Amino acid sequence: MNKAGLTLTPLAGGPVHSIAILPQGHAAVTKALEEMQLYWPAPGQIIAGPQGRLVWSGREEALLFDATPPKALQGHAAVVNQTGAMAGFAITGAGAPELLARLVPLDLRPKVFPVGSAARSLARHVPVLVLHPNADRYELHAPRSMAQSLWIELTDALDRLAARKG
Amino acid sequence: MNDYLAPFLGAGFYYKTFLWPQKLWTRLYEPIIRRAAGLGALSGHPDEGCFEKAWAHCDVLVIGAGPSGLMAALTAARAGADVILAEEEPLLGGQLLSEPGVIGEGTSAAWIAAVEAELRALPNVRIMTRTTVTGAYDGGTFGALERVGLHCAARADLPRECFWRIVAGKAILASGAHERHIAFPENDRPGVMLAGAVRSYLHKYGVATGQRVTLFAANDHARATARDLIAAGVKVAAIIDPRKDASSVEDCQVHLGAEVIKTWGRQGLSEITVRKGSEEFQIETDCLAVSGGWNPALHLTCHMNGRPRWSEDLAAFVPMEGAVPGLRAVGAANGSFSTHGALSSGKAAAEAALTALGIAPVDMPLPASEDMPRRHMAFWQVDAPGRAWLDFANDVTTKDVRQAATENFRSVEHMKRYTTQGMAPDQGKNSNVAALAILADSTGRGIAETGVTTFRPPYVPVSLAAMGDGGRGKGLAPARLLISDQAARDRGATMIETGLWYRPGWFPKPGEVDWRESCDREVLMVRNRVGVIDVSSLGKIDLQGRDVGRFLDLIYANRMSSLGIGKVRYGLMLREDGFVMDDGTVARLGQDHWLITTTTGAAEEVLRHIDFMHQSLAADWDLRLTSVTEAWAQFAVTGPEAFTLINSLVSGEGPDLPFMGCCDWQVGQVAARLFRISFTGERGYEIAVPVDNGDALWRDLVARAETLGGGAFGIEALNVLRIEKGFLTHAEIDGRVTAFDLGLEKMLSPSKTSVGKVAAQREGLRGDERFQLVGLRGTEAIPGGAHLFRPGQRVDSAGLEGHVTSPCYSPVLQQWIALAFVKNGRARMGERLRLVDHMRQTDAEVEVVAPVFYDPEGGRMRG
Repeated sequence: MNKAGLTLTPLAGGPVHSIAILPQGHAAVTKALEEMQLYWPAPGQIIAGPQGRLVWSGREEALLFDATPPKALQGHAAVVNQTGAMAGFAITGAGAPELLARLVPLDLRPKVFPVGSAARSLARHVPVLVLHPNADRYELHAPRSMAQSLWIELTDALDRLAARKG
Repeated sequence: MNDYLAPFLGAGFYYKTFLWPQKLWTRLYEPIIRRAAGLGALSGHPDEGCFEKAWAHCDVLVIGAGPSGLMAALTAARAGADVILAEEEPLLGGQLLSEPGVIGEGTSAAWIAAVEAELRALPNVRIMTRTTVTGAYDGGTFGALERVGLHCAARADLPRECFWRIVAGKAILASGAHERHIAFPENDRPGVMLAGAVRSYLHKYGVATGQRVTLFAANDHARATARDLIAAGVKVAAIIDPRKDASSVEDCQVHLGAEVIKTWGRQGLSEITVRKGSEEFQIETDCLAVSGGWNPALHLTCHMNGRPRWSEDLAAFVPMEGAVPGLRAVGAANGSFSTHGALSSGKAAAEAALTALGIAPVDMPLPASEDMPRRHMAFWQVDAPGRAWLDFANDVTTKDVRQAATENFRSVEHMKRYTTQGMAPDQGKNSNVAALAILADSTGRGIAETGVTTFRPPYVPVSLAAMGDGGRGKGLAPARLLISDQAARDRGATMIETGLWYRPGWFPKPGEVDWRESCDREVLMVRNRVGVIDVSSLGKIDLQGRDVGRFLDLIYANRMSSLGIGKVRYGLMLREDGFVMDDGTVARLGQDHWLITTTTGAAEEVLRHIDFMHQSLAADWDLRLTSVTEAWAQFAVTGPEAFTLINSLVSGEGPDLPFMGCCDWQVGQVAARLFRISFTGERGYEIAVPVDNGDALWRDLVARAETLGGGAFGIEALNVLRIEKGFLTHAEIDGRVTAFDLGLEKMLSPSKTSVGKVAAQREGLRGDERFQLVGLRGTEAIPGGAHLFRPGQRVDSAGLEGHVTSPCYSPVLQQWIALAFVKNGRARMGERLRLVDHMRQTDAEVEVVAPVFYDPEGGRMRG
């Protein structure tokens, strides 16, 4: 969907795994991730590697998108296949934060939420993971079951934004 | 007519007159009074208009774009701070638009234009016109209402208003001041208006408000209105100034030590009577411009319980510093009425805000501007006979305020409620200070001692539609859709909301018109053949780590650590207070890998609870928990033919899974999990597959079930099946029941500690006085929520013996049955009770029985 200089795109569902480091597991997890040229994200951080990206998603927990988790994680982290469990939407265009301001209470100004940031929040009532992977691109990842509601919220907000500009 | 009755319609008239008979108030008096007052009625229809709600964030929020606001915004913006400048008018400039002058080297208009151009060119500035900041809240958050399309012809897609929540590091209140009226007899006649309004009409809109204008003011500032009118060629009939020592330089008649004591005119003002000493005379005039001074618009500074301070010098209330953390009032809002005062205080406040935010202010000169002292006299009312209005919207006069004082409503809050002064849409902005000055006078106190009423948000009326944008109809809450949602709807399912989830209620067949017909058929189908239902909405939590068993022992009442790999156990979870929180199953998938399920409704609550327990009681244990509710689609296949159906999914021998067993499984190419559990009392399996395969599997399972004489069934049938078996849901586990009440006390393992175990032993949580789970049988329909009494006893709360939680018609038993809680119920089997439901006019007799109606030995489930 294109409007008001913004593009809304449902993201294709690639593999997603949650990785929760077990106590004492940090060293082994770091080593296992090094082989993928990834490292463990700090809270609120996205780490992009040559294959896949690792996104902070909670206490001692990250989501690995678009890559298979290394076997060496076994015993050091709880790895759970979450493929299909989340629906992602990309908002691209220079005014993306303007659209998100209709839905998300977070401060998305570049100095507060720079490229490479991740946060858990709400889009209206829908729980979302908000990502800022590139300068003009934001992503919302919501539980699959609520994808339709989130899409309606996004398109409604975009319609109103376009009406203001038009 | 009210004019003639006015002597009888003073303050408190309604309170005193319509006391009796009491019943007539709501039925007769109030409707008549409301109609007479011209109050409208709501349409009863929802607002179909389009509204919007949004968030904004900035370093500095500047409220008001008059001289002080513009100067503050410019100072903050040049230093690089993110600035939001909110202005309720369509144009920037504030009072400068009504009172043009000289700023710096040029006109004030040129200065406004230059500042606006600079601000608009800066990427760190957002200018929001037609936006009124309505409230100050905790954490630097402000509410603001933007009129987006309200001032234009209605458009379906354009929001009428947007309700903003602005989060600011610092805020500068540059909201200006409100001019106040003077209370003199007949001051409500059309043609009498505020001097500032006359000046605004002249300069903003090029409108002369009269042919012969008279000014009645007790301050120097208002004189400019007369001078501007004369300069514009409008005849000024006279200036009436109560001060004896004021100047009289204006090029018109100036009466010092004079006051207006009456106005005349039928449709509008034609003449006024002026009193000067002992002399009274008439002046022909069609517009009387009045100014009783200015009140700083300080309301936002009081929104967090702050009170303003009375300034004798200014004869006005001024804000208390720090009343709202991070907010500072400047310019007229802080009592600095001159243009220089506005500019300098705006700049200083912005610099202070920048410094506090760690941003270095840039050096910028302050443009020169007028800095005239505002000479004035505190002048509230004219002492003359006749009605002198204070609150023009609610028709409150000075006499009403004095009457309130006479009747001992001396507190300003009492006076307000007794007279309704300040309770109109302006919320007293026009009349508050004058009214309390008169109250102070009537009670022999000072104004400071009398105080003000409480200023609460919102500062202006806000449409509920804007605040509640998106909350109408389905916008109220997100819908959670099962992966089989479309497949179920394709089969004609009627969907039912359970929490946020939409689940199939029943699948009507051709010819079935009533849900009960479909439900009864589906129950018998499961009992006799096989049924398929999507149970993915149940909460599923994956636990991994060496200490999971130990942790589950802690959060479940019964022991879990002893569970073997490939086994499933029913578990009961208590809250910390000992009451039952939830039930569900625990499956051990591997040595250090477990999966627990929760009920649909309590999924979030349970996840939150066990996460809390993990973090607070077991933070360093070797375990991690992850919600996998959305990751797996899970389908229950249940009925005598369930094994046949499951077997048909794989080539060769099917899984030889014992009751309460689980295993990894393979359905075609898909890695699945299989559980041998049942919520229906029939042989049952639950197949879980990665969610992306759910739609295909559900369609396949239902098609296979249909070849076996079965099919899909909905949650209505599932409810009947589980009631027949006495299985629990949150209709029973309603937060008030204990394991003892449910007959599950033996599940509390004596050999370990667990959350809620000690609290469950408290006095009063077990024993004969408790309402215990039982079954009921009846010959008539049993309504849910009906209450139970002893036959022949009075039907009142004192005689309550229990209540119905889950009733249904059992097509297997061909009678009405129910689960219920009855006082000491387990000892009262066979007793007959009276069932009363006032809502549904039901009064019937039921029999107390055991809560398991069907296959109490469980042979069908285990076999």
